[in-house]
Amino acid sequence: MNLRGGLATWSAHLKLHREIMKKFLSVHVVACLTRQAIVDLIERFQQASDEDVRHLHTWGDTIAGRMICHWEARDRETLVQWLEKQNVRIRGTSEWVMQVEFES
Amino acid sequence: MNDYARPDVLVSTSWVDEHKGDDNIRLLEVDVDTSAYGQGHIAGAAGLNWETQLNDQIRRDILTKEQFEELAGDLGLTRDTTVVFYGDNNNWFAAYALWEFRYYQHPEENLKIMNGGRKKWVQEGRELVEEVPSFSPTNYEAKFPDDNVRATKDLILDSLHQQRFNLVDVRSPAEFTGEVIAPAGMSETAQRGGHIPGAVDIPWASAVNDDGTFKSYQELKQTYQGAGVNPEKETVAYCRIGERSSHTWFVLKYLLGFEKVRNYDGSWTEWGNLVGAPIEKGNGHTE
Repeated sequence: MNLRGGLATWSAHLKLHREIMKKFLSVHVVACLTRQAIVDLIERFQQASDEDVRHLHTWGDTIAGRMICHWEARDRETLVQWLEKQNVRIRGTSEWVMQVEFES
Repeated sequence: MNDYARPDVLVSTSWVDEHKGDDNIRLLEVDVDTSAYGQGHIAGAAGLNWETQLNDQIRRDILTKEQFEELAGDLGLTRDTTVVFYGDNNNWFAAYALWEFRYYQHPEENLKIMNGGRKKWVQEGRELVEEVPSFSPTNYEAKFPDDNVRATKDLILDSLHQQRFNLVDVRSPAEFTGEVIAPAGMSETAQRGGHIPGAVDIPWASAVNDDGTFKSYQELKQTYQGAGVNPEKETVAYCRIGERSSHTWFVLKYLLGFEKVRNYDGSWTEWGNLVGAPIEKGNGHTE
């Protein structure tokens, strides 16, 4: 395959990826985790990211004991199951996962 | 700061700036972010790691008297040294360290917290240095532990029916109701979620302003007494592992002047694992 053909294939792959992958936000209680412990958790998210779920960004507040994560995932169920593998469960009403339906 | 019951236990950032080089003053920085000290600290301040230096590394417990004496000796302290604690996250672990020093009866008049902590110092653009100070070791002699500032599970269990204590749960509402047992990403650190029966939920951060300083006496009084915490009764503060609750212990004991306040350092990771211990779920359903 020449360079142009390779780029076209890669571009098509990215387009397909964007169409398949959806954006999500999730909120988690980190309680009294130290900043380092939260950073370690985020590094675990990065290392475990795969073609089904990708960690994009996290905002946290150790004083409020919460963090908000930004994801790309095939669907909500895939993301929730992936999080459970990382020992992160969605509990009660304080923690939730929301698909980003629109941005403005 | 003058409205507080014990205003002398707080010092301002400007006071610290003025006195940081005094012979009889020792500054101790204790942070949630244990890398913060290495990124710069107040000149002359020593850094303490709350997990490795303020707790026994084998048993689950705070330091023994001998371990505490060794730590204090390594820091060059005597019982006459005025120890000023400060740290990040609104002095969260600074309060924990102060509580432990108080437990081993370092004189109360020689224990202080820098109001606003590291955040306020940095926001005011005050000097940070990277040089780590060294101290001539001393032969520090601690007194026997003051059990009046520490609560145990047995003490609480034995007195639950008499409702002897105000129980102040300083965790987040989701932890209090039992929705959340462990922080995200951690295995469950207790077998059950919920709170000790009769406890009221007053998250620790209710006591601080946005700039990291403590709220005024009147605001604190409104927060705690408004939630039903009776100053005439003995009070026990607890959280998950006993560090957030030491912050509230400090507020109740020194800023509001409650006569008898204890920190339950076993906290939920002990109570939530006890076989047969009564637990309330939600906002008050006993199981």
